[in-house]
Amino acid sequence: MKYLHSLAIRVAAIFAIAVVATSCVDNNDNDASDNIAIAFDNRLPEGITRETITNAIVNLKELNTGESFSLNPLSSSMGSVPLGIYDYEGSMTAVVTGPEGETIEKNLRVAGSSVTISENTSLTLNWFFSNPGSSLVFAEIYATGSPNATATGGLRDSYIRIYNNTDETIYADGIGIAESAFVNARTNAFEILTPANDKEVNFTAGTVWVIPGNGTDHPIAPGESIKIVDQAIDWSAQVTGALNHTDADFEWYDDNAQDTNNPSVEDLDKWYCYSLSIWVISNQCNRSYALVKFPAGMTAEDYLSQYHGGYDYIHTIGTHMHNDKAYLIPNEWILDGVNLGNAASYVYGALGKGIDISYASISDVDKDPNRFGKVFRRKTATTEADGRVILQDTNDSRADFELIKL
Amino acid sequence: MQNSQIMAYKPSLSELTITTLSNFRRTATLILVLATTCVAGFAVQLRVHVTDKETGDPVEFAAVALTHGNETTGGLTNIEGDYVADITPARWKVTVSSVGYNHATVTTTVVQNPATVTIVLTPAYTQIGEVVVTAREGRGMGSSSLIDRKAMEHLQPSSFTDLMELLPGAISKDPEMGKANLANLREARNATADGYDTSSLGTSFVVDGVPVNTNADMQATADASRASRLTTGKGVDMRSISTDDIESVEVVRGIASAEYGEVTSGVVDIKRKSGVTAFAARFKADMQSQLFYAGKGVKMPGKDWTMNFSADWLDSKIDPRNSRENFKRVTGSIRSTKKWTAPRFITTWNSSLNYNGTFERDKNDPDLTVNNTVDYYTSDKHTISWNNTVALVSPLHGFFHSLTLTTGLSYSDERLHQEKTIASSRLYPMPVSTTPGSNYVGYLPMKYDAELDVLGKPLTAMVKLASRFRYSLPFASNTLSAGVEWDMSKNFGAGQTYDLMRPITAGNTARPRAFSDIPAMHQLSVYAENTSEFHLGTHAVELRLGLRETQLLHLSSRYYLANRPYIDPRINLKWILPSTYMAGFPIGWEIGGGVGWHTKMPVAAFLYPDPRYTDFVQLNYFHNDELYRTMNVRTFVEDVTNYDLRAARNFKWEARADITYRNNRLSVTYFREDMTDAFRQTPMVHRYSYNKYDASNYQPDQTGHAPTIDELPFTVDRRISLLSHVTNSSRVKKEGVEFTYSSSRIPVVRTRVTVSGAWFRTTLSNSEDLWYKPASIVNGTELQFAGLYNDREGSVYQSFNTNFTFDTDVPRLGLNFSVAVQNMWFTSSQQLWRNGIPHSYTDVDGEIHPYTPDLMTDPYLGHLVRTFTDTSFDERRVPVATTFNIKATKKLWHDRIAIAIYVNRLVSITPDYWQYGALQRRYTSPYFGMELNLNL
Repeated sequence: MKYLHSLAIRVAAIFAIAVVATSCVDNNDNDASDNIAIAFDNRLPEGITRETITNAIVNLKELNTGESFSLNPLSSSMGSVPLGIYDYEGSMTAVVTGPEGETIEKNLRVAGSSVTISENTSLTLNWFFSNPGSSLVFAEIYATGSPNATATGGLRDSYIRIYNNTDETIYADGIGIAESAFVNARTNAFEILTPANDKEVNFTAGTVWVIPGNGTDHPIAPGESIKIVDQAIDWSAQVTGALNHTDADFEWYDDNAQDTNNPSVEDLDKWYCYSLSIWVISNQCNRSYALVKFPAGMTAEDYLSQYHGGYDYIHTIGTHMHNDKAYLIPNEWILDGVNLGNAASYVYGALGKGIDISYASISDVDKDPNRFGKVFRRKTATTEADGRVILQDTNDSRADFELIKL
Repeated sequence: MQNSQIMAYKPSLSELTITTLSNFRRTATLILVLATTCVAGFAVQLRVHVTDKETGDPVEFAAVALTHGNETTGGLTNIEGDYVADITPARWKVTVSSVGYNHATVTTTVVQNPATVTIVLTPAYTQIGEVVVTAREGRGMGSSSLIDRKAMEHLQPSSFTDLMELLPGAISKDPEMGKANLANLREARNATADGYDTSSLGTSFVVDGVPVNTNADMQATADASRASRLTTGKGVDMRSISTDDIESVEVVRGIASAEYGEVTSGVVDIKRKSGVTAFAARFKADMQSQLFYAGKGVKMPGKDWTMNFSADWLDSKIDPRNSRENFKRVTGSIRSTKKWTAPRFITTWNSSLNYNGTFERDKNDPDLTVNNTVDYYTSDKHTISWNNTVALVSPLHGFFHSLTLTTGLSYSDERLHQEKTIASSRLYPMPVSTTPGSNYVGYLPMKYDAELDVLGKPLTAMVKLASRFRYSLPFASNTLSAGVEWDMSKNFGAGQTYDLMRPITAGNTARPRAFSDIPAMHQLSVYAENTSEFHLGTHAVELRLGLRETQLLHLSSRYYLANRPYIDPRINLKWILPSTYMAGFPIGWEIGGGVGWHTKMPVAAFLYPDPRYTDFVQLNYFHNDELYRTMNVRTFVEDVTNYDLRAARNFKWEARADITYRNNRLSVTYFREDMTDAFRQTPMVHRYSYNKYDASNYQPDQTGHAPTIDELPFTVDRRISLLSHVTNSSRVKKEGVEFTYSSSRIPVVRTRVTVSGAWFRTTLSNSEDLWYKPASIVNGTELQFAGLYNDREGSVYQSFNTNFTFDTDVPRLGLNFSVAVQNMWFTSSQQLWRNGIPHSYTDVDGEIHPYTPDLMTDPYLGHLVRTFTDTSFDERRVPVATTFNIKATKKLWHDRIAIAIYVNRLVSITPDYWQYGALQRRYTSPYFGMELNLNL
């Protein structure tokens, strides 16, 4: 494996040199004086070689002019782009041989923002595996809630809708819904020191709810969804314009004198929560959420005894800190994940890049008083002949979600 | 009280009077004596009698040096102000010096026997054009700071808070009228933490002999955003004290006289003006406030009767742009002083009737909010007090000196009122039952208008009888004082009154209680104190031994404190060393020190805490059909009274040195204080058992009604929770060096330099093991374990500052001008080290088990380990900050009009610094004010 890895780097290096060399020669653009050659330094993950790759593409978008360019990062004859500042994203497919000789298709992605491309720029592309084969996805996250009776804040008629994005029935039993312990905001910008909490390895959760059931109690048919709410009550009877949640499939009930419990709506199991009283979704929309498929047979006690994830970090003010109120979720267990944030304070998401390369933004400003009543809704990718909707899941929440005012 | 040697400024020339007296009536005896002394070598007895020019009182401990050619002798004056020496008749040079006075030298020819020379010393601070605009170090036995009228006029204060700037260790501070201003003596500037209010609670404010009693104050609100405005259990709010009536203040920082009780930190002894004064008016305006004061002292018909009238008004806006948040103060007082002089006794009767009103407003503007939501907070306090002091003083040199009866009666009407539009974010069940057991509960509306009134009516009374005697022993002269004091405090208020279904904070679980249900507190104290002055050659030693005993009366016998006496021994020593001479002038040396215990009894809110209500959900059934909805909780009403509560006791010691040379004076005090039983709210383990009813199979459609707990199966659930109790678990440890240097006024430039400052190290921590239960849900329930830790949670705070004040006084121009350079050389804080591992833990069964290392990996018990990182315990240091403040006063029209201005932080030097790789920038902005004083 080590050999493969170094080979990959060498291949990448050779390509980079080749691209630089060829792009100068093959510059056929008429407006050659404005365009400059661009070199790509492809860094491929372990196990992927140049030969296995098909369909590589990188889309670059100049931020000032809005002009877009599609380039093949592996091509020996590629174009050039005007000097400028670019956002880019790219994808490729690799066909590799599995341990038992089977053929496996792996999707890789790359993305970056605000890179300056000038003379002799070599753009480093750190390719990573993306996982479009997710079965259950977050279809909607209503974190802000509807405006309260005086429109001074949000109600807790917040909900999460989980959608079966496949053509097979999936059982929701045992599926976990986890909220990140990290806050995706500048105020808490920090560097995680504990290796286990590296987001490319594990998701660090501060709250873990789990859908109850014996394995086949809660089927979700293809194209169907379940709605999970905070308080399963008819909010519209309380505040005009709020939602009716009496039809919810589940509610996250906190066994506390500050919560209500609807007897006809099943409660989630609360495996862990950093808060003693009631749990609410971050109504500032600055945390990340993950759908988790725990290994078969894992009980709450098993999980709690093995995956405690207290971590050390460097706080914004530079101090070395520790937070003990966290549990780890290995990235392999994650079916879907979404980073939430706002453009003003977002620094980076709590999820690994392979799970969400970007974030869904609630607003361009921090703590926007007008954020209430807006739901994050996943876009439709295609509609099948039978009418089943396939939701877009490119692990790029900025592209996959739209913000809808309810 | 005996330290109150503060005198009004009277510009006069340094005066020296020599009187040589002879006794002609005893000529025969004199001849006989002369005859005998001639035989013995022509010795005559010379009595040097030293008096204070201001008061006419004898000056003790004055150093007297007699020189004639090569012959020298000398010593110290006794309590009568006398020094007696046997000398040869000749022309003698008599030099007298004493701390705080200008030295005096006269030459006299001594012939008669006995001869007397009377020397009148002029206090050093009433020297020509002498104005002291800073605090002076007191001349009493414990370390103290004296602030007189001149210093206050120069400072231009709005409230007593501003005067605290003058104490060593403090620097100028902008007014903070939007929160309670507490007195934290001898504490590092940055020492702030919850649970350490005993420091301010134990600072006793005594106004004309009557302590301000806050023991029955109980104002409180559940609205956390307003908590910093309230002072329950925190002592006196200095915002409410006006300074314009104050003649002088002595802040006793060190070991207080046994005459003072209820004091752990220090005493602020305030003397108000009395006697005939011109009509005085003051108008002050600064960036936040306006102040108006008027006062006059008039002579009344008859002999020796004067009355003083005064009133002041302060209107302070916390943010000048916002007229809806402000603090107002109105005070008024009528004070009468009547004196009767009889041959053997002088009787003085002081009586004062005072009004003090404070009015706080913090209201939002509904026109600026969405849907006109309201958030109003007002807190009004009216206090009327009537104080009387009758003093009987014998000016004769007998055993009896004085008897003083002081009474104080104070009644306050306090009303905190809040109105708030509450729009809930969720549907809150609302348990309101005040009876324990199973209760059905309703739900809060999503929007309602909450109103809260907190009505407090504290009444306090005190009676004190103080006596003073003097007696002489062969080797020492003594003063003995003894007294008894009774204090009462009782709140007659209705307490918090509000509609339980419309609480001021949604989710609030408290229930109201009337303050008047709380019994009155009675405290009885007795004290005795003996001050001895020993003369050992050219040395003089003053020793004060005091004992104060105090106890709470009429307290239920369940309390540890019931009738329990606390005895505070307090010892102070002052040693005046013989003067040494430099360039012909004496250097006065004085060293001293003290050690003592100081006790503060708990306040009513600590002795009688509100009962605690806890509700556990037994049945939560929010059916879609409103008809079938129900919720049942088990309500626990618990008495969290800590019957073992003790008084807080501070142990202090200090060592002092004082050097005087030609009106330059340096005072340095090193002190340590340790209070290990200060009051705090401490979490304690409580256990509960309740039923969880299972309604999963309940069919309301069939029964036609909501489920009741009687018809449901249940399981028993148990929980542990931590509830806070008032305990003696806080430790306040203070250490430091305080220094004050004042130079003589430098001629020609007429400038004096004062340097004051302090290094303080304050440690705030718990003093007993603390329970901790992680606030998290693990596998469906609250963690049902609590750990007991022997860690000390807290920090060490340090600060070091120097204030250089250059004040220039030009009487010819009526101008007084000062520049202060205030350097905060550093402040630092450092958390105490903790290992975070409990030594034992408890569970719902109530057993306490040892916590062993293997439990750290337990999915539940592992949460009891609290992990701290190495940098948590780093010292965080903020480097030097320098500010320049200027103040100026100009007098016009025969000193009848004075205009004054001040600018704080006119220039600031606050260098950026790096902390953990991040650049820290500091910004300051100037603060200024001006005023007009009339003296007609």
